[in-house]
Amino acid sequence: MKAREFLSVAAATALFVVMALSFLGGVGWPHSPTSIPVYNPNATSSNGIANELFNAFAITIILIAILLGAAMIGGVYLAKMDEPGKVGP
Amino acid sequence: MIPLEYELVLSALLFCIGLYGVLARRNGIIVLMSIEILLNASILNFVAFSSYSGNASGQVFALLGIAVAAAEAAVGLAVFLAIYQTHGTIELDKIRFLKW
Repeated sequence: MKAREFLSVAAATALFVVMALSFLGGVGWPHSPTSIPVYNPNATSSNGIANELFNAFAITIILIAILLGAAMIGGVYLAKMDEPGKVGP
Repeated sequence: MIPLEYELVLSALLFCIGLYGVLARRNGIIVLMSIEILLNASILNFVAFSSYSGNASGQVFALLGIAVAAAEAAVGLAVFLAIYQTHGTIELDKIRFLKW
């Protein structure tokens, strides 16, 4: 095993041990999950995923749409083949 | 019912697997896949805490994180395709055009 792989395994293992001990050690986590509806048509506040998505995070949806469109255009621009065997700008 | 601690430990395990891939591997595609594993670990954390706290915002963040991961994968694969055409390799140690 090379030194780089050994250091990577050591770092990842140490991080996992620290995180696992912090998760398992005496923290009062909630015991039972709560059912969250996908959409609640009678909601006065945002208590469904779709209610929350389109009420509190409406601007975020628009920004994600712009991001996905830009990623699509950028990906096609970078990967397009102008002539056979040549990819990219 | 699965306790929350088990989901958090699974998320930590996924995160460490992704971290090992980012740190140890040199192939660009594998590094990209490892970054996706890191993102999936964070998404699992969001969903776990959302389910156990009864707040839908975590699952909304998970959906947005999946969209960001898709955009990152699309651009990353296109970049590696262009790099392979110009350099003939996607080994990250051999790609030096960002260095002086």
